[in-house]
Amino acid sequence: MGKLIDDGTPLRVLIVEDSEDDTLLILRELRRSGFAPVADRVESPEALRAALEGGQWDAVICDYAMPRLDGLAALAILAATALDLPFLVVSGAIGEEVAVGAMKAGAHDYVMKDNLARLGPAMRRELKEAEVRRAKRRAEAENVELYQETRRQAHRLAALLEIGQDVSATLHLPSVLLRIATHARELLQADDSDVYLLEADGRTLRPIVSLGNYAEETLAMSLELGRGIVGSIAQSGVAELVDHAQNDPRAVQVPGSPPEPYGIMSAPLRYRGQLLGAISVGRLGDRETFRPADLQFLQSLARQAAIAIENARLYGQARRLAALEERQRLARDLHDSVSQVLYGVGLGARTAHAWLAGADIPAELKAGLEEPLDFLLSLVEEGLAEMRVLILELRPDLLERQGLVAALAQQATAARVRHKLDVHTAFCPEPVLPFLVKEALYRIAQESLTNAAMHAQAGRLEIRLAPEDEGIALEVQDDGVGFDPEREHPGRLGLRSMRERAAELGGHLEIVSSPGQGARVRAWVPLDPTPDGPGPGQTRASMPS
Amino acid sequence: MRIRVLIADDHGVVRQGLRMYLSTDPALEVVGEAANGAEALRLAHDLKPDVVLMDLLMPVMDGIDATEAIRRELPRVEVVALTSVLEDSAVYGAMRAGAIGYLLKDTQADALCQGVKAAAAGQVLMSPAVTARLLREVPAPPHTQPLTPRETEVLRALAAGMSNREIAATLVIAEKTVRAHVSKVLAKLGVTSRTQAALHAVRTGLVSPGPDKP
Repeated sequence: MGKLIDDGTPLRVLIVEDSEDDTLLILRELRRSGFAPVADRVESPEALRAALEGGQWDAVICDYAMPRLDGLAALAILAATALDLPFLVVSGAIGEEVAVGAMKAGAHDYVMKDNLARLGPAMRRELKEAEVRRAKRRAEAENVELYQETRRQAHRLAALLEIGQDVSATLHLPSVLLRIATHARELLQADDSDVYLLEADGRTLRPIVSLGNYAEETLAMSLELGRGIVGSIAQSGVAELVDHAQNDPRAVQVPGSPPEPYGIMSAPLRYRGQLLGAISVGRLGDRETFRPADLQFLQSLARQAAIAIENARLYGQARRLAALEERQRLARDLHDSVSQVLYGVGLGARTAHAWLAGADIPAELKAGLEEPLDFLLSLVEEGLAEMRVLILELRPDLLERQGLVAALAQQATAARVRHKLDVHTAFCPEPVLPFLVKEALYRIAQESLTNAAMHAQAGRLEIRLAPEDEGIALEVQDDGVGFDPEREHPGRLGLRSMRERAAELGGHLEIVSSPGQGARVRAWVPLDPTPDGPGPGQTRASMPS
Repeated sequence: MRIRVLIADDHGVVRQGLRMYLSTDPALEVVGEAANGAEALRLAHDLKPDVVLMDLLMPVMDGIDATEAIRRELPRVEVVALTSVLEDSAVYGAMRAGAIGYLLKDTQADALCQGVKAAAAGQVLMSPAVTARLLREVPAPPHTQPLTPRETEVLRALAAGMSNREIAATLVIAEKTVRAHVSKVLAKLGVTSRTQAALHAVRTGLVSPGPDKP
């Protein structure tokens, strides 16, 4: 197979020809016409097929009548490759009919071997034609691509519009986020789509919505900020597109999902610089990778999701504020009406008592009148104590103003008068603690007292508050029937919530009890609940669902 | 002579109950009832009571403003704040405004008569907790003049919770002289009430905060 290089227009030409001599003639003619041909000669169908598949060609020159291959068969082989190459028939004398047949089958021109001078101009013309055809095809392909891109953009804009309306009209956050995840999965042709919310601890990304093959596994697994690809992207605050995520050093395998190649895109959900969560989409297997435009769309979705979360937070806040105002109004009303009336009743009874003490009447009558008056006074005392506890429950801010010790003392008094318990207290002086810590301790005491009174059939209660190990310990002990703290106790309020309250503040809560042995609830919280990082003392975005 | 008491409370049941109960003590005489702070101020001018029992949360003019006005316009009228749980922070406002003490609206009615009598005698009765908080919250008088040794003695006795009569007996001087000394002390310290003078004594280390007897 001769390869000839010369000056002139480079031309990679495949020559289908059984004659070495004719090939040389053809090449000489091409050179004469100003080409610098690089050529291969083939003469069998297999060789032709292999050459077309293996090489880069500008044109094919084909003899018409050969022992192993004729022009029509060669044309068919070229057509099968979908290559659009100029195909010139160069042959000895052939009839008009044969020539027309060849043209019909796809040959671009034919040149007689006795008139080879036509070959150069014919080749130039056909190369140009092929170039025009290629340009046209490119333009068409671009049009199609443009059309598809426009359609994609339109779909995405429509989705954003729909989500925008959703965000402003729906206050149910999970359904808004579900819609966003659904759009992300469909419009980004992703296999899965997840939305995470940053927990109140500021460190954990909790999956809220997960669509796709491993939704269950994903929903079961919280992410730590900074861990995994999504956790790292959320922490960095910058949306990112990761091809071949399986090779990324940050990747964490979802338990239960097979190790297969995937691409991932993730964007942090941020509102006014504050991280609220993350959204991510993934494509499994060897599919086309995501493109920068896809990432932009995901970021638009992320913005909408962040607004939805902020809306829900504001709504929740407004609702809580309204509830708080309502409670304060209620507390004031109670105070204005019931407390004052009770005080008046007490004064009346006292007055009667005072007159009775100085009255000159038989001792029997005096004793008979004193009894109902004492009864009345004890009822007033009970009522006032109940009112104080009730008002404290309605207005937790009073806890801050009165202090924890005073509030616990009121609880103790209420337990005495309400449940007729023998309550003993030992309190340290009012400790310097953040309000949240005081509130938590107060609620733990409240729940312990309620449990002791309602379930334990206790007669005696001890409440202690004392500093201990850079923290403060609250202990509530009863002499009641006891219980097994390891088991579920549907009737007993909030054993779990008490533990959670203590844990949230970096402390712990233990319950020592067994049937018949009474119960001791012991909570310890550190004085400074936030040794490192954001904690309960800081402002945090709470997440109403 | 009986101690003349003016009751100021916006709740009729409370006014009536107080009037009934105070009437059982022959040393006390309820001379008037006011349903708000403005009325209390007007009646204080008209009736010149020895002691005003002042509820703090009242419409029109609240108890703190009324206390402040009464102490400014009628320095010989003592005000005792009458409070319940919701008005905790108002107590300090009342003390700052010049109330000599405060009483809780609870069942310990005996303290009521004692409290009124103590106030009439000019006794400052404060719990250490209240004193500590007042020390934190009430700014020191901006400019005070030095007291004479005798005035310092009177201030120390006053801050210890003594009445004028007790101070007179302790220092062996006339009660009238004590009253004159107290006026001088208040003027020199630039304060309007014995409570504030007592706070000054605690702040300057003249006395330590007293025992818990609100």
